[in-house]
Amino acid sequence: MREKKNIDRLFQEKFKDFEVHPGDHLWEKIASKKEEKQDRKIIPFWLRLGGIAATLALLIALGSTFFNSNSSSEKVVDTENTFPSEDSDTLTSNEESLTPTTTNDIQNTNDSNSTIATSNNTEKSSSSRETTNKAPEQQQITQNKNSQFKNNNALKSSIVEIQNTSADSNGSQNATRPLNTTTIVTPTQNTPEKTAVAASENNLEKRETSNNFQEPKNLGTVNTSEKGIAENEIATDVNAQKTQDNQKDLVEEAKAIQAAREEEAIASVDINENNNKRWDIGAVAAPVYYGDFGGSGIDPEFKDNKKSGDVNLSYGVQVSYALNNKFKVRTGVSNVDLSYGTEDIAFSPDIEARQLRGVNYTQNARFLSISDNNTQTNALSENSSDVQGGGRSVTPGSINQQVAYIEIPVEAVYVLSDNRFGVELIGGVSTLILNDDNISLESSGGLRTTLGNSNSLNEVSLTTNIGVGLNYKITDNVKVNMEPSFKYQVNAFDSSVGDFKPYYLGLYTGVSYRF
Amino acid sequence: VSLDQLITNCQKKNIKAQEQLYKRYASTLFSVCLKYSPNYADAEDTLQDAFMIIFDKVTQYKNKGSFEGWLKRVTINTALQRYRKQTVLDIINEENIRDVDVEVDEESIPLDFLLRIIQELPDRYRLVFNLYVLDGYSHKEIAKMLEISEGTSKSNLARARNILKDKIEKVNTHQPLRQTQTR
Repeated sequence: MREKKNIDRLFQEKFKDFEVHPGDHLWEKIASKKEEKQDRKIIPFWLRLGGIAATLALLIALGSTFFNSNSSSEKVVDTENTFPSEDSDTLTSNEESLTPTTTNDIQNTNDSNSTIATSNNTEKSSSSRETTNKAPEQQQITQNKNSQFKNNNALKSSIVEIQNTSADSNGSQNATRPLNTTTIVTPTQNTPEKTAVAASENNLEKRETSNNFQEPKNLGTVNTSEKGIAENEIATDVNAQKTQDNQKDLVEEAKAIQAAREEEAIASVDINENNNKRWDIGAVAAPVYYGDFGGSGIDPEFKDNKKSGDVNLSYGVQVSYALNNKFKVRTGVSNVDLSYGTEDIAFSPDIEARQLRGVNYTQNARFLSISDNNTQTNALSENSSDVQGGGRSVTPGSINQQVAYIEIPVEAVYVLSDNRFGVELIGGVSTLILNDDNISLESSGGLRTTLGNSNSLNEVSLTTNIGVGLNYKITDNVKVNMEPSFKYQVNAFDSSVGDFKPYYLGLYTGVSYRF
Repeated sequence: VSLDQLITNCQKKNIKAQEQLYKRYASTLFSVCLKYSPNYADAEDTLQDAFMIIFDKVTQYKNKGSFEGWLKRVTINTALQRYRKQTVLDIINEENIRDVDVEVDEESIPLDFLLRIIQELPDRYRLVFNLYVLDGYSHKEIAKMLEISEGTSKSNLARARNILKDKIEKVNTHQPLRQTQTR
C-alpha cells in the first residue's frame, strides 16, 4: 500500500516503540571499565598535580633567581656608576660654562660654587663607598640604603641647581639655564632603570621643585638637611630683593622633602613586607602505612589474628599561615587510601554461613563462611566424621580491608630552625571523611572476591597527628618538604565490632611556595 | 525493589543496584544510542560511556521529573559530546527549510533500514534530526546543545530530511522517483 507521508511522521511512528537490547556482554564491559577507571583516576590526578607543582616550582625558582640578582648586585653597581659620575659631569660642565660667562665680580662666587661642588662630590663618593660596603649584606638593607642614597643624591643635585641659580641671580642667567635642564634630565632618565621606582619618583619630584623655584634660599633648607655645607658662602651671595619669595618657597620645598620622605618610608615598608611573607601553599604526597594497636575492624574473632599493614598513597594540598616567626597554623585537604590484611583465616561455602559482624555483605558473598583458620581446623577435625567426603572445601586465605578518606588537617607548626635547612614540630588533629571502603577475601592462591563493605566504619572520624617537618629552601620562596608523621585514629571504627585501634604512618613529601 | 529504592542504592554506589539499573534501562537507552551513533559498535561505546556517567552523576538526580527522562537526557548528552565536535559544511539555504513528503509503501520499509540511513547521516545532521524529529527538542534548544545557531540547526535538519528521503525513494526502485529535490 503506497501513500504520501510526511517524512518526520514516518520516522516518528516507526521509532515510537524502538527498543534494542544491547546484549549481556556489555554489562561486563561497563563493570570492568568502572574498576579500571577507579584504578586509573588516582594516578593521573596525582601526576597532574605533581606536574603543576613541579612546573610552578621551576618557574618560581628561575624567576626568583633572576630577580634576586637584578635587585641586589646590579642595582648597587648602577647607583655607583651612573649617579655620582653623572652628577659630577654636570657639575664640571657647570663650572666650565659658568666661568666664561660670568663677570669678574662674580668670579668669586663661582669659585665658591665650585668649592661646594667638590665638597658635594666628596660626600657623594663617601656615601657611595658606604653603599658598596653595605652591598654584601642583606638585600633588604641594601635597598633601603639605596633609596636613602638616592635621596641624598637628589638633595645634592638640588644643591647643584641652587648653585647654578645663585649664579643666575648674579647675572649669568642665559648661559646657565640650559645647563640646569640637562642636570635635571640626565638623572631622571637614569632613574627608571632602578627598581626602586618610588625612590626615583622622589628624586624626580624634588628636582622639579628645585628647578621651578630656582631660588637661592632653597639652599638653606637643603643645607640644613645636608648639615649645612657651604651655607655661609652661598648665603652671602643671596640677593636681598628675593627674600619674600624665598620664604614661600622655603615652605614648599620643606613640604616636598617631607612628602618624599614619607613616600620613601612607604616604599621601604613595602620592601619589608616582601620579606615577611606569611602564606605558604604546597602539594604533598606520602606513602602511608596502615597499622594498628590491636583489635579487628571485621569481627571479634579475628582480634588476635596476625595483621599486615599495606602501604598506599596519600596526596593533597596544604596551606599554612605564619602567625609569627615561631608559629604557623596549617590546614589543607588530602586523599588517604589505607588498607590492611587479616591473615590466617579460612573460608568455605555454606548456605547458613555465620556472617562476620563488621561486614555489610553483598549478595554473592553471603554464602561464604569465614572464620579464624585455627578454630576452623579444630572444628573440622571434630566434625570430620559428619563431613567426610562431603563437598565442604575449606580454603585458607586472608581478608583485606580498604578504606579511603578525605583528610582535613588542622595543625600547629612550631619552627625550631628556619635557616636554609628548616626543622619544625607539627601537632594537630585531622578530620577524616569516609570516602570509600571495601572488604575483600583473598584466597592463598591469590583469588580475590569482594565480600562487601564495612558496617562499623564511622562516616566522620578524627586522628591526632604528630610529626617532624624538615625542609630545604631552594629559594626564598620555594621549599622542598619532608615530613614523617604519625596519625592515630581516634574513633574510626565502631568499638562494638572488634575494638580496632588503627593508626597510620606517612612520609609526607612535597614542594611549597611562600607568598 | 522499588524504583526509589533502586535509585537510592545506586546513589550509594551499590554495585548490585547498578547492575539492576542497567538491566532495567539498557534497552531503552541503547535504542537512543543506536539512533545517535553512526553504527552499532559506536552505539555500544556510547551506552558504556552513558552508564559510567549515570553511575557517577546519579547522586545529582533529585527526583525532579521522571528518572527515565533523566537517563535519556544523560545518554543523549553523552552522544552529543561524542559527535557534535565533528563539523560539517554549513550552507544555510532557507529555501530548503520546509516539510518534506515522501511517497512510500509503509509496510515495505523495515525499521532496520530506517535506522541504518539515520546512522549514515553526517554526524551533525544525524544529531539534529534525532533531537528535532524523534526527541522533540526545539531548534532553539538544539542550537544551544550543539553550540550552533538556530539557522544552522534548521538547515541541517532540512538537509538530513532530504538525504533520508532520497535514500528511501531509491530503495523503492519499482516505483519511479518523484521529482528529485534540487541539492
